[in-house]
Amino acid sequence: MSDPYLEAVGKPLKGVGRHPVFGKVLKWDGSISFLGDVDPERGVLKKDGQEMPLKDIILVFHEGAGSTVGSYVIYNLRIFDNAPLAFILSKADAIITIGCILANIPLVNKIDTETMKEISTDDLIEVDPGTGRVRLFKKNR
Amino acid sequence: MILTREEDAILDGEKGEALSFAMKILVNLGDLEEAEGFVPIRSAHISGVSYHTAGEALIRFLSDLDRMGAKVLAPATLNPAGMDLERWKEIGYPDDFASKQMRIIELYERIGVNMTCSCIPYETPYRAEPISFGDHLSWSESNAVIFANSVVGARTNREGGISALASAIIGKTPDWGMHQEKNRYPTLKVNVVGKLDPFHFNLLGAYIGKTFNSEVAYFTGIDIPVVKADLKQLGAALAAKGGHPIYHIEGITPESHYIKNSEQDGIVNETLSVTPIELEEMKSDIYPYPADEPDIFVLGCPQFGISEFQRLYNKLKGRKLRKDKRIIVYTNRALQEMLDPKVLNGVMDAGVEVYNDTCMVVSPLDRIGFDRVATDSAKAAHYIPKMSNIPADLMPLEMIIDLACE
Repeated sequence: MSDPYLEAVGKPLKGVGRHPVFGKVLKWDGSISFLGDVDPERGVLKKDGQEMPLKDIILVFHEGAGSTVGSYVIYNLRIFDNAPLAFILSKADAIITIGCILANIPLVNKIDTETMKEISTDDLIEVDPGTGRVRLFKKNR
Repeated sequence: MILTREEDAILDGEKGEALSFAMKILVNLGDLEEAEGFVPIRSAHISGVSYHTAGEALIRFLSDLDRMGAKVLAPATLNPAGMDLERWKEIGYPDDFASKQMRIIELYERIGVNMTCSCIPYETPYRAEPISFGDHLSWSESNAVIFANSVVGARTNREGGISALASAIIGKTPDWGMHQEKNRYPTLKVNVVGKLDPFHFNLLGAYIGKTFNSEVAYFTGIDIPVVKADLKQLGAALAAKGGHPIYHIEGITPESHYIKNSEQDGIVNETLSVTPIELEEMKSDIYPYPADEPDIFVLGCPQFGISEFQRLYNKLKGRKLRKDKRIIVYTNRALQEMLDPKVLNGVMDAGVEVYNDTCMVVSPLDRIGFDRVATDSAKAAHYIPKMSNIPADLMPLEMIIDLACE
C-alpha cells in the first residue's frame, strides 16, 4: 500500500485491542449521544433523518453527549455483532471510554483539530491501539 | 496515571481477571481526567439497577463480572430497582419485566453488594456503611453524590454505575475533581432574598441548575431552620437540571467557609439575587400548570426519608384520599425500619400507598398503566417524561393533598 496521506498520534485506551485495525471511515462532524442516536440491534447511527451502518467501520466524531446509559448502548453494539472496528475522537468522555472497554473497541482520543478536518467519510484509516497512531489514506488519491 | 507496583500487577492480571477488568476501567478513566493516582474509598454506591433503564446489556455485563469471580472489596450499596421486589405482582408489573429485574438483583448480590435498593444511602447509616466528613467515596446517583459532598462534606465525583462498581471491586477511585479541595471552592454566589417554603428549595435548585450548569453555588440568606428534606430537594434538582456535584449554604453546610478561599483566589464568576416570587414565576415557565387534573400523585424523589414522612403525616392529619385518586410514596426497606410505626400507619390509613425498593423515575410507569402523574419533585418532573413517555406535572405537596383528598 502507498504511503499514508497523513499520520497523527492520539491517546489510546490502555488494554483495549492488541493489533492494528484497518477500515473505512464513517465521520460525524459533531457529538453523538449513544442513547438516542444509535440503534444497536440494527447497528446504525441515526442523524438528520439518515441511517449510517456502524459494523466494521472506523467511527470518527468530535465528542459524546447524553445519558450514562450510553455505555451500555456501545456494549450492545458488540452483543448484537454490530461493533465498529475503532473509535477516533477529539474529546472522549467517561461514557464512551467505559462503553469501549466493555465492548472491547479500540479508542484513540485527543486527535488534533487539523487532523480531524482532513478525515472524511469513506477514507481509509489504520489505527494502532497500542501506540494511538492513526494513518489516513484519502479515498481520492 | 502513575501506578504503584501493586496496581500495575492488578492491571496485568496477576490478581485475576475480575480485578484486572475493574482496574482497566479505573485507569482509563483516571487517564481521561488526568488523575495522578488513586485514593482509597470508604464506600461505593451503584446506580444502574433497573431493567427499565439499563436493559439486557446490564445483565450481560454483570454475568461476565460474576463469571470472572468479581467481589466487592469496599462496602457497596445499590440504587433503586425498577419495581417493589416483594409486591411487584399486586402492583401490576409484567412477569417478563419482573424476572429480568430479579436476575439483576441476584447478580449484584453474588458480587457482594448490599441489597437495600436506596437512592438515599446517606440517610440509612445502619444498613449501609456510614459516611462522615472528609471520607473519599465512589458514588453514582447524582442526588446522593451532591448530598454526600455538600451536606456531609465527604468527597465523591459524579460516578456512573459501572465506574462505582469498578471502584467497589478495587477499593479505590482515581484522585481528581471533588477529591481535591480546590475544586470544591464556590464559583457562584446566590443571595436568597425572602422566606423559602419547602417547595422553593426544589425551584431554587432547578433554576440554578438549569442556568449555571457547572458552577459551585454558594447560597446566602437561607436562615430559616432547614430540614434534611429541603437540602435533599435542593441538591437533587441542582444535580438533575445541571451537572452540579456540590453546593454550599452559608452557616449550614460544613464547607461553606471555602467562600473565603474563593474570594482570595478571585474565582467567583458571578453574584446574583433571587426571590421566592421570581422562583414561582420561573416555575410556571418551566413547568406549566396541567390542563387536566391528574389522578395519580407520586412522592419520594429522592426516596422519602423520615422528615418527609413526618411532613406528609402532619399535613394529612384527619383527611382521607378521594376514591378516584392515588398518592404513591416511594421509599426503601432500611428507612422504613427506622420510621415511627404511628407515622407510617397514619399515612397508610389515609389511603396512601407506600412502595419500597424503587422510585417513579426508574420504574416503567407506562407499563403499569399510568398515563399522567403529578409530583412535588423537580427532579422527577424532569425525568419521568423522558423515561416513561408520560407527562409529569410539578406542584407543591399542599396542592397535591388538596387535589387528592376529600
